[in-house]
Amino acid sequence: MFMKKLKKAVAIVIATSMSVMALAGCGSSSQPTSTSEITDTTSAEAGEIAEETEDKGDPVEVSMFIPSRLPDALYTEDTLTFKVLAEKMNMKFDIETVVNAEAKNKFSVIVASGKTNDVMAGTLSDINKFGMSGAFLPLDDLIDQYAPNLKQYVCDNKEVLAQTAASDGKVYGIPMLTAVRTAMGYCIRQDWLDDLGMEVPVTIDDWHEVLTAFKNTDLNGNGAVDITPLILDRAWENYFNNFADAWGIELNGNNDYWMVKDGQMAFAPILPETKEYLATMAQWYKEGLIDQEFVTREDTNNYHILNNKAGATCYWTGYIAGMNSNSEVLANDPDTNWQVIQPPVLTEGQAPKTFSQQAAVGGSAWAISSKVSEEKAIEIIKMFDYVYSDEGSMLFNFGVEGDSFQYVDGVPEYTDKVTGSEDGLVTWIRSNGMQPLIGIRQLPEYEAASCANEDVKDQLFNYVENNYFYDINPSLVLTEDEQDKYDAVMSAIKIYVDEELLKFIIGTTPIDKFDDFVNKIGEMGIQDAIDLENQAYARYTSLSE
Amino acid sequence: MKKKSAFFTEMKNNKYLYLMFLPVFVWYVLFAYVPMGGMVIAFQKFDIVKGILGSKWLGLENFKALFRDPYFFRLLKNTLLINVFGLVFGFPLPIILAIAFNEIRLKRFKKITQTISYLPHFISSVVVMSMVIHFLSPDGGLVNGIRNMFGLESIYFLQIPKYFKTIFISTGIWQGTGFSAILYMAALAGIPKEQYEAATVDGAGKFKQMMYITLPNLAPTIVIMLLINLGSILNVGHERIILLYNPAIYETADVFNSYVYREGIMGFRYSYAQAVTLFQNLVGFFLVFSANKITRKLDGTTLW
Repeated sequence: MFMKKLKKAVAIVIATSMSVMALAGCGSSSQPTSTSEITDTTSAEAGEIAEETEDKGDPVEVSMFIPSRLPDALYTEDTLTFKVLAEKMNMKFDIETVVNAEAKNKFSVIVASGKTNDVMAGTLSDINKFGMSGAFLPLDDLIDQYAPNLKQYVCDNKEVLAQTAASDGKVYGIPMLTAVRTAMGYCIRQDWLDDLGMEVPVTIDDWHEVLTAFKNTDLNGNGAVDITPLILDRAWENYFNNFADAWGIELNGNNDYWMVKDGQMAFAPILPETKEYLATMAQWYKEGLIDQEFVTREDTNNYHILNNKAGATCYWTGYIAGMNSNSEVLANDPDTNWQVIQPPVLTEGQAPKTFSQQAAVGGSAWAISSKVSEEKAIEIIKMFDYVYSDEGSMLFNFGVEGDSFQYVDGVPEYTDKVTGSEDGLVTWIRSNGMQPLIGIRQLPEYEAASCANEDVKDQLFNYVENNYFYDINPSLVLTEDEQDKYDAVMSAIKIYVDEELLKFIIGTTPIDKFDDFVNKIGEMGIQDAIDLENQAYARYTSLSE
Repeated sequence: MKKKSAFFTEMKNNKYLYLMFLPVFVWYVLFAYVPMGGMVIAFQKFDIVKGILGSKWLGLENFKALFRDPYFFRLLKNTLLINVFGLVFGFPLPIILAIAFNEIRLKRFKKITQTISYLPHFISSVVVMSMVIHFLSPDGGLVNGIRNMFGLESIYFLQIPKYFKTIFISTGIWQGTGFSAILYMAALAGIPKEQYEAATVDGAGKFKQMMYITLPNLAPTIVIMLLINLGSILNVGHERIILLYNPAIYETADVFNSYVYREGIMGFRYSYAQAVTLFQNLVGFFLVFSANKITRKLDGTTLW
């Protein structure tokens, strides 16, 4: 009994003296969270962990909600990265999780129940929405005082800040920062082009010629003319109007079809370019150049590519490039060679560009519950900051040095344990808590190191190196009041546009009805929504300038 | 006072029956009546962080928004048509099937066919709907395969608005008929054998027996089932719709429940979604209530 008390007393002294030193270090109001209660640790153990823990006392208990990336590898406190993070920060995590597909629902259920975990990971837009209602702490002051890395990467980077802040201008969630701008690229069967003796298509007219040739030739040698020249993915990604790139417009239903045009927000479906684009698509569809079932076909890329039936696609570049080494693909045709090519243009000499790209800020983020004590909030923001630091970034991109990665000539590479694992690299990474859907910085080195080979890497970085990107069309955040007015007109317009765009392409609505379509959208009150978007855009630009 | 003591006497006399009823009663209070309180969010601008007590009251604003919605009549029309056609084509089938089973004399054959007929009920809707999508695919689908054999062009069924209701309703019939027949089979089993024997003695044939004994005996069950179905006339389960539809056929496929799912749940407009649901249920309640009155007058069969 006496010994225990003595130890406790000693520990208090140590802890206090350490915290005084810590105070001097950061010049802030940081307080030690608790007194230490070192009990019967053996000297050997104590020695091992002395560096890490002797100045920190009892671990801080932090409950977290984090969506898991794989259904058969749900995160626990023992998941590699979180275990290391907890040890490093002297915390004790209590992780609640569901698989990512169910996360959005679960997230709002937890928030509605009022029993919010200390740390909640979810989509940035949900966090901002509920943050403004009071569920999460505004982090600006905490970042300013305790988190140099967050300050550097979020607050001082205007582009990131504009995409992160809620409509009240505050930061509620620490977002995932993406590493590579490449998203979907125009990919084509280079080997079939070679078989046909055709050049890589540059203009829309070239594309028409190439796709027609794909359609009419038995390139896969199965005795039937059954190639789908161009596949579009509506059912999964709902991003199938890629070819509008050539007309300089973005028709993206996931962003309610908004785009920036001449420094103003514009509703893309009513622009004259849309008519020309739709007319072209309708013609291609009619001629059978586009998958006739693209409206309903799920998993269209895998279906067509694995069966050796696709000529060209617009899809995640790295994924399609990886198909060249897919065993099923090679079994069908060992010469299969998917290559990413430049985005289409209208006339030769125009600069090829695409709107499809990763925003600097990814969709995922994590936030601190407004119910935690001030002391705990400080500890958590320091933890967030560590995850953003170079060391923390290596942990969440590559894992543990010597275990899951090693430096080769200064470049991090995954070890054989990872690359040679049974289910492949990506699965290993995701099951062990790397690339979680929280506020991390994705490193370009991660993207490079996780490419299967040099060719995939070259293709993935192709658009970046050639700068084939239009300026990104931001997803703007509306205030609560604006959102109500916006929903009142936009929910109906959105449905109408979703329907009609498809009908124009598959020919159910003839293209000469396009003017009626534009008029109807006008009658439905699109101008109100345009005005609201422009207000929000003004706020966005003021943050990013 | 008198009333009260009558209540207690009743309780005392049948205490074991009431004891058995207690769990059901508690279940209804906890899971059916208490959650009904949540319906008040239809009159609010519900904020999940602030909760029901902290959210702003809007009065009838959400209902006004619903009736002003440019898609209100389309949703109403689609929902009604799907249910009315569903009733017209789907409702008599289980009755016919049950009577048919009843007439089968080979016991083994009866058991096998019965089991086969209600098996589809146990297949998950997700599976059924992907089967439908594959059967109807123009690219190697069964239906178009048969069309092609007869030299007909393939049809992209799920992209053309006019086919949706037929596809949806017949899928429902295929999945549900056998299982719904069970209820009528039970009612049939309750018909006293003497009636049939007496009819045979009087020289009534099979068809006459069916018309004058079987159907009249089934009538109360049929009426009650019809009343229950009327209550959900503005409800079409969203999960089967969203598995099958796409924007190109919203025109005929979008119903209240799928709309609520998209706009209310996915778009966090809980109050609006609740207003739509409340409207659906009020209409359903009104229909059941009046239909119940009518049937009570006609032949005395009622729900309550």
